[in-house]
Amino acid sequence: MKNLTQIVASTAKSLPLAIFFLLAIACANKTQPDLLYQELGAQAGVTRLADALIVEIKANPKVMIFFQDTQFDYFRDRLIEDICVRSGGPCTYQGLSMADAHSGMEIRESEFNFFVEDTQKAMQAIGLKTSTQNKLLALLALERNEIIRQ
Amino acid sequence: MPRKFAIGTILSFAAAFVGAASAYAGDGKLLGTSGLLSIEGSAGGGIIPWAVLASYAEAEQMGFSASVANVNLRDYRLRTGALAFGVGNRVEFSASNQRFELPGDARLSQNIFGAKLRVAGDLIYGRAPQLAITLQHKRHQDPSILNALGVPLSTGTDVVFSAAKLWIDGVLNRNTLANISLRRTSAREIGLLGFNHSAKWVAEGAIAVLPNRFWAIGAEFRQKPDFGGLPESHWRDVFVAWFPKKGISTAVAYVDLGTIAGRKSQTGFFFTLQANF
Repeated sequence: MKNLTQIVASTAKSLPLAIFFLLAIACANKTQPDLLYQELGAQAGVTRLADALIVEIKANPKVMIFFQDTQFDYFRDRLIEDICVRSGGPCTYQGLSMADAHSGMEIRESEFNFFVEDTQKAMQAIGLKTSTQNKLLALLALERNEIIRQ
Repeated sequence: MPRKFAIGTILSFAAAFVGAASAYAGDGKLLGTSGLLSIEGSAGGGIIPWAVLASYAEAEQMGFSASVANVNLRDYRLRTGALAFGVGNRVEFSASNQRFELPGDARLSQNIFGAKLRVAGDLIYGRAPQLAITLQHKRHQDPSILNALGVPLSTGTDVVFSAAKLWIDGVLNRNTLANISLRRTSAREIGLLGFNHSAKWVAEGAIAVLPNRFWAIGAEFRQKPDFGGLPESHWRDVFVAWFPKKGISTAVAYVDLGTIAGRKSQTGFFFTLQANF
């Protein structure tokens, strides 16, 4: 028991250092965007994700209020293009800019997060790895300023 | 007063679970990003506050957090109950009670009233870190014990300047959080052994990695001041926190608090249970 305590204690002392080293490695190891498109499962995977996300949106009243007038066929195509382009895939986004698409909606910070949660659920539902999920979420996070409070 | 406070804490905690079961108002932050109430009541990790704000209240929301914590050391035990109120992911008010049980039947108890302001930035979004200023006013419930021990003061106020950032795609492509803080304090053993006339600057830090959005593992460090007299050790811990849903969270930590009031090797386990609504 004393031995175990000593091991835990010495780990406690060296863990912050070890984590800082890991941070340094992670920062040096930047993700290639085209790799993410492949990780998502290319066009078939991106399409599955978009469909799963639409299921989550429709099941979430807190997000669905912003989709009352949405033509979901049109939205699905734009969503597939957007995920494809942002993950480095060979697509062209043919929709409105993020700012224009959300103009007048006055989406709050909390509501943006509800959409993030739907995205997390969708990614989980189609079985994406946590690392892949986080790469995509990091890209979604970059769009926040063009989406909230428009 | 101590009894009243304890009952109030228990009632609030019960109410918290009821609240958690039904729809809660403060639900706009992402899971885990409000952290946990620390042993001083301010939102953070376990042994230090972080720049995060209590409850899941985002802009235009309000929320409560309530927690109980227990730190079992070789010769001492620290029990805390804390309540915090978060407004719009901007301001946090907290109240907590710490009961420090010494060998034998001796016991010291202090109340801590905290206020935290998010000054700038966001924990997750944008490049800038989230910056916060925390005030912790600490007041012993029975100053006569400290007076008998020859401690100069039974109240004191700490000021903590914190910066925190969560990288979504961080270490091993996992959510990774870092917090660094500077504290101005006159407290001896965080105030449990009273307060000094003059204050000193100390540094604090934490780092955490989330294997997935429900779990966090990490470590904390808290520098302690040297006011002469009984020597203090720097505090450290390694922890595992679990956020099964926004209403409930819990954490276990191994803590190393070094020498406290002449007693060496104060290591042990920390456990906390929290409700948010």
